[in-house]
Amino acid sequence: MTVHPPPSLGLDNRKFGMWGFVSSEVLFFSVLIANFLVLSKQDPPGTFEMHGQIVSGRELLDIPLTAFNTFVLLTSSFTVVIALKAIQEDKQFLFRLALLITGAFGTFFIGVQAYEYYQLIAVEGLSFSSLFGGAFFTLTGFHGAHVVGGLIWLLIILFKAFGVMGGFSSKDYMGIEIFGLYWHFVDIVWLLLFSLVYLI
Amino acid sequence: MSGEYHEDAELKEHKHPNYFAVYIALAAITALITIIEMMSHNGIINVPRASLITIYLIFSISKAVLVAMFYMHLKYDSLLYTVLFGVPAIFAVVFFTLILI
Repeated sequence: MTVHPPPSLGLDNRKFGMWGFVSSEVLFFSVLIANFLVLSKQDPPGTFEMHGQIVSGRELLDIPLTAFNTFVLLTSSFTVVIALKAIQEDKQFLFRLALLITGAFGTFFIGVQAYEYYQLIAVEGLSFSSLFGGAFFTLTGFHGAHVVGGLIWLLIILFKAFGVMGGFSSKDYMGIEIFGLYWHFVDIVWLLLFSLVYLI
Repeated sequence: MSGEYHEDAELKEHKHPNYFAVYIALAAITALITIIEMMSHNGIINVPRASLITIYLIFSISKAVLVAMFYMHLKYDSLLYTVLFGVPAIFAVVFFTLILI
């Protein structure tokens, strides 16, 4: 049996590693958001048109739909923390149900994003070549990619949660906690994106 | 990866916060800023743009802090995690503020 020395900081290395990764992602998204804030208002007047009127790029965005989608992602963040609490108390049914709801809401969020992209590109004619369009699709696209990555991770977790590769318990839930940290971070990024991209 | 859970040396024993109350607070703040923006956009209320930006920034940062403190358990975990997350987060906020001014 291999004996591992305790971590020098007294912290679980896996959790510490995820926090380090989240920190790097904060910087990554900071740059993308800053890029959007600077470029989004630089298109020449008349670049965007809606219902025959000249508008700014931001006015092409569907705020009520995105607000609803923000609630969806917020709810998935809530169900992740419920799943963690449930497994800490060995409530397997609630744990699995909360994870399934998280996956369903996360998938719904991506679906609405895809619909929004279709509306903007095919209906409103928002082009990647405009400064607003390029910055918008880059920023929200990277966020969407993070959500998709999280959903793939969640799928693997669900296999384990349902006993395909072992299982989780009150003595083994680090995988859930680490996933939760990632998912909550993705939620935080969206909360900021909603305000900085859609409202401001 | 070993499935064995290593308790963080600094993790404090704590009661779970009221996650539902946090969720309601987050949802309420999101609803409030959406309503403010829709009313401002439609001319129902007349708020200077600079004030709106300040309100949205403050509320957004508040939501992020709520998620980080309670859902990500920063309030109950090692201070090192708070520093690890907080330093780049503060940098980001200062960065955005300088751009938006």
